[in-house]
Amino acid sequence: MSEGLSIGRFNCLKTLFESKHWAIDDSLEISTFSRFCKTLGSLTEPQQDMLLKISERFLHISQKDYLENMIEPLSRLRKETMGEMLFFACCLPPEDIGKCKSSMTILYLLKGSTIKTRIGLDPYKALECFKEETIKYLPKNDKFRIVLVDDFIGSGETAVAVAEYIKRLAGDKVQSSQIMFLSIVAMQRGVEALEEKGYLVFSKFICKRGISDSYDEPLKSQFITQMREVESGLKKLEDKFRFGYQGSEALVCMERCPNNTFPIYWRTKGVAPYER
Amino acid sequence: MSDEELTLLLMQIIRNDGNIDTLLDNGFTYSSLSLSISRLKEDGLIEIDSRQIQLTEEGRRWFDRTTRTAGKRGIYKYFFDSRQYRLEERYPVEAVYVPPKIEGRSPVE
Repeated sequence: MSEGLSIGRFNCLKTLFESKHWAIDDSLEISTFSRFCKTLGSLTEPQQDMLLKISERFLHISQKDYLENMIEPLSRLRKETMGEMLFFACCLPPEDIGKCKSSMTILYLLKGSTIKTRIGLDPYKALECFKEETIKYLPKNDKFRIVLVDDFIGSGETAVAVAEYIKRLAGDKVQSSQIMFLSIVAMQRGVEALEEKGYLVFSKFICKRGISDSYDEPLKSQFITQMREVESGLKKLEDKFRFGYQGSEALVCMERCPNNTFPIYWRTKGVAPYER
Repeated sequence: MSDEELTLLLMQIIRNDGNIDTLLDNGFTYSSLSLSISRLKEDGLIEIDSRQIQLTEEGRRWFDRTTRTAGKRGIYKYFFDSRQYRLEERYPVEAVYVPPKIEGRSPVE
């Protein structure tokens, strides 16, 4: 049963937005602030307090900030692979090749000239995507790396699948250690899943699960129970999205909100704070 | 509502940590409400301490002064007219107004 929004909690949200430099403006077509207020207003007061608390860790990186946030992980990656040829490609499974995906934004920035004013990347090449015919362009020696790029790595499921696909295509020409990942945000569990398979990950932000890895008992159990109650109120929410895809518990929004984020932030169209 | 009436309404809501729906029903938007809270704080009429928002001593004096000026005395200074419950049509004094039936509510026994 919703209880509306008290002026005290409204002010907590206002303070949160101000501290994170998020816009408070409802004159536009989409106002994250207004939607956040509506979402809070649809919850009980203890649920509102929980959502306000976990939102303190929420990370929102829109496309205009992508380049700035790529510099640091890219510098580390270049340092790690000193002098080797880098082949950048979108982290796309074969069925998504040709679709408009967020990884293309990252690749486009790597193809552009602005990034070259900030960091020495040579030798490198940005590939459109990784196909069967790409293999024949790879050097005969092993002094090269394939860098799969995306703005966000969630559970690591897609990333592992793409790396395995490339290894299948390339046979013994590409070893696991030659495949790397570059992202702006990655979930800790995704990074672990990739590193377990021998793939290195370079990411500006590595995020823990928003509740399970971020609070001690008894607060953790309390928040988990409250989030379950919140999600039971979301219509037609598939089980695989509870607590975010595969229970990722992400508190992240990129240019679009990943489904790894708790669904309260994106599920209800027109009311949830973020779009997906 | 005039700006002063809106500010008075906002101060009433802050005083009791009331629901913002009343403010939205009476002309505030989420962003104008945010702006008004910032202004009241700048003017020293409210203070924000961690998760609490309340009237300052000066704010309470402003509240009493403004309610007096608005002709609201005694308990009436804590009440306000809400657009939500106003009837659009004017009725003569002797008219009897029967509110619309609310679905699901059983008749008085």
